[in-house]
Amino acid sequence: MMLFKLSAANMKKSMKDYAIYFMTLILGVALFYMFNSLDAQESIMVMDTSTYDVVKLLVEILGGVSVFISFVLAFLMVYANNFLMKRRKREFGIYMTLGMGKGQISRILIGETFLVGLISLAVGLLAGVFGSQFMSVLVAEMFEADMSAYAFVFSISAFWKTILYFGLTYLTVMAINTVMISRYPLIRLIHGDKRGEKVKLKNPVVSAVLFAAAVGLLGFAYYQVGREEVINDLDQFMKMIGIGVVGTFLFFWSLSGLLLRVVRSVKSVYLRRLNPFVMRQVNSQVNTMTVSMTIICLMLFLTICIFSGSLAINESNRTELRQLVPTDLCIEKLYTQEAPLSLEETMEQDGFELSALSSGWQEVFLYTLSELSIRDVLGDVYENHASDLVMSLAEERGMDAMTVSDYNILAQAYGKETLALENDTYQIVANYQLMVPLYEESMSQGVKITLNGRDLSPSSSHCVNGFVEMSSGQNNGGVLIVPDGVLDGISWESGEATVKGITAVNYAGETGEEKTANEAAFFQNRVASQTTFGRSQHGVVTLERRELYAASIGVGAVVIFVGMYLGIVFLICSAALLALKVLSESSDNKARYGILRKIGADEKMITWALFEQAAIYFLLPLLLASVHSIFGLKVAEYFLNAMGRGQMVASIVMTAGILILIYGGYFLITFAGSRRIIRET
Amino acid sequence: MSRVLDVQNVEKYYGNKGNLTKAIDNISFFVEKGEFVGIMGASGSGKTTLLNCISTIDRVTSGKIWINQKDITKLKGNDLNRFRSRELGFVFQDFNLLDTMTAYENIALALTIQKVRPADVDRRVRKIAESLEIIDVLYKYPWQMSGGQKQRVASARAIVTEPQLILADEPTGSLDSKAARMLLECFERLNWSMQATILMVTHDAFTASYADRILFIKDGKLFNELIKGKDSRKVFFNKIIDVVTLLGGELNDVI
Repeated sequence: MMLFKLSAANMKKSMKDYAIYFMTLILGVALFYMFNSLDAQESIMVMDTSTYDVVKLLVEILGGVSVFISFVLAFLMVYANNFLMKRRKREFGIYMTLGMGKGQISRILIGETFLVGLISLAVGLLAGVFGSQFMSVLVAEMFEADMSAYAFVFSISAFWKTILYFGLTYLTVMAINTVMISRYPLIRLIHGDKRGEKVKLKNPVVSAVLFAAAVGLLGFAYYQVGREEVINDLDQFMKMIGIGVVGTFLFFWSLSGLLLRVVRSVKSVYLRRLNPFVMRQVNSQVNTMTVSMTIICLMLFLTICIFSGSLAINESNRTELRQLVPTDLCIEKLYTQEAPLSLEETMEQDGFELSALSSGWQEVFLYTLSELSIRDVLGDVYENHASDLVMSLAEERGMDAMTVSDYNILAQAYGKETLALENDTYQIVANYQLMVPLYEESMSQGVKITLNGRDLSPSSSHCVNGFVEMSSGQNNGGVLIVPDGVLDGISWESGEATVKGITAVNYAGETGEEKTANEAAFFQNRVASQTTFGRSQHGVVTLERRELYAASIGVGAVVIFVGMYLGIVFLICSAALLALKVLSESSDNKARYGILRKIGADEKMITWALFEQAAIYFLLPLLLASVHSIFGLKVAEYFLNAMGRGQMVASIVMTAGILILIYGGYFLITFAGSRRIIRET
Repeated sequence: MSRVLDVQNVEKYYGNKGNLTKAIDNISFFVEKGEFVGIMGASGSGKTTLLNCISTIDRVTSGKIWINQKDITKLKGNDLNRFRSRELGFVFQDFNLLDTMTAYENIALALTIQKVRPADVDRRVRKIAESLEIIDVLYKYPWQMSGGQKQRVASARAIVTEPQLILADEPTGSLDSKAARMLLECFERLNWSMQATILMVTHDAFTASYADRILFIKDGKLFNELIKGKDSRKVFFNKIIDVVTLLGGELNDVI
């Protein structure tokens, strides 16, 4: 009991100095609970099943990621305990001279870890339960779920999972601590705070050579990952990442000594205020934290890339969707022997009135020709690219075609530019990134095609970027637009083509509410009526905005949630490591600041010196991580571009915002904390 | 001769009404420019408290202290810090050198804190190092130096800013006799050649014998004053021993 009292007292004492460490643990627990409790949200339950599947997938992925996350947090705890132990060696030494055995000291430590664990777990879970309510609002927003069923939720499974994972983590940390304390000899514990610290200056030549090597390695890796053949070869790519890691380590290893020497040679900077003191402090500290600096830098790098990447995917998803799904509803009618009736007739059979849904609807027709294949349209280009994967699709497929008047009707409905075609010319509308350059190659070669007995030549050398059917991705592989009359006489009955009627409409209604009401009515009727839409022989398919959005945003949400989860945990862990380092250093350096005061340094100077040091520790890894990220994001952009997703700028700006908020917050708290430590005498 | 330090009716009380300790009980004295004054007294006599009050580290309960015609008991906050760095130089018993920095940097820091131009810093550090014979340890760290060297570096740091008054608190306290003699000879030289005004607290008669004038303090009061005058140091030392014997107490033990 006595020992436990000691633990509690020790905890209380260090609580103030290490508030930021507890905060990070609590935040870690809270995040863990929040992300693992996603599936329990009532509001998600009422989403349609396709979205619910996405959420289930999300929870599964997050579960896997969580294992990794608890490893990261365990690392943070062991690291933090290492710091705390260093500071308390003397305390343990005194216990031991008083006759306490190592077993008892271990028990004190176990008691402390237990208390830290218990408190952080309890507070973290509480914060998590409330935080998850906020999350569910966010989730519902992203998945466009019905918020009317919103209620306060508590996820029992996430609760137990959090306790299990963190319990195991804390046990591991306890075990590591016990092993560590038993390895210290008594004399080193007693003299723990007398650090006759010898300042080891690294050999300047070795430092300079290694620094050059580090810069060279990084430059090489940067250059290599910018090359396509390296990006596409996983082995090569991993090698470059390995080189980057080694380069980062060498960079920090050689930097401190070199920096000191460089600054020292510029007397006007070096011999100013407390600069010589600050430079010496930084030099001796960076020397001892090369490994942690490297880890922090790499974690920040990952954070930046994960954040920007996932935000970019989500953002481009959204903007792309807005363009690809311009109307509320697109009804398609496939004309076949079994379903020869027109769209209007088919719908009337089941009591749907198209004009009630939307006034001024107009059906246009898309022909998939059997006499003209994509191969024919590509001409010689096909032969040159015959080995491309995409060509295996092109070979047999008939070309889709539509008359220019029909296309213009759709273009108007979709809010796109209409086309004008001269006689005996054709144009191609496409947005599938792999096909567009092929068409453009053939069009610029002036490949002529023969259709329905008429020769047509390309109207220009460029495709029109667009589509005729709404979809959630850029996958229009090409539609041939021909002058009116060219398709006359081609019919589905004769088997010369399959014909699809396309009707793009917006729900009738002036206000958003009316539209929503009409949409809901149509949606419910559609579900209720198993006739028109339920049976494929009627050939009616609807593409609804809400469905397309739900399907697509679901994928984006998975990406962004996993990205956020990993990114935030990495970020708070790196920031916490730095904070601990700076704070423990401040308390180690109390005496030195005391000397500075005695020889006349005023508080302003001392505060500035503290600020400079904290800023250097926080900025060094961030700066290198930012440089890494410039090249990392180029790789990310390459992959995104391959998926037809460009804009990274907005997401990088957002990432910077989040980074400044969290990392900057940790920095400010750390700075304030170390000032407090230095001020108390 | 101008008065560098003028202490008038200074009192310093600790404790409260029921249990009052007079650490300094109405002490008055002055130090003129270029003087080397020693303050002697047993531990608990109040000599360190007096030094703390003069060095603005502690505040007096009543009385006035003028340094260079400025009443330092009225200074506050940053004015006090500025005053301390410009007008005073400190030499401590335990050196108080920064262990992460070389001797050169330790000395330079005193100047950079005063915002001396970087170009001047180097020149002044070298000059003072020469006069204190520490040129060859300038680029060593404190852990690479002997105690005597450390104390001379600390003295260089105190003197390099050319303060009005150098305050030394038991400067030979952690030195062996040879190193102590060397340091005191340095003080003597500085006092002669640079007209440096030095106020040194010590309980060691040998150390005190290097001063021009010695004030003895007992139980917070000025007890006696000895002036070296034309005496040789040996004669002066014997006089000091006589007073110390008279003072009694602990001081006897240290001789």
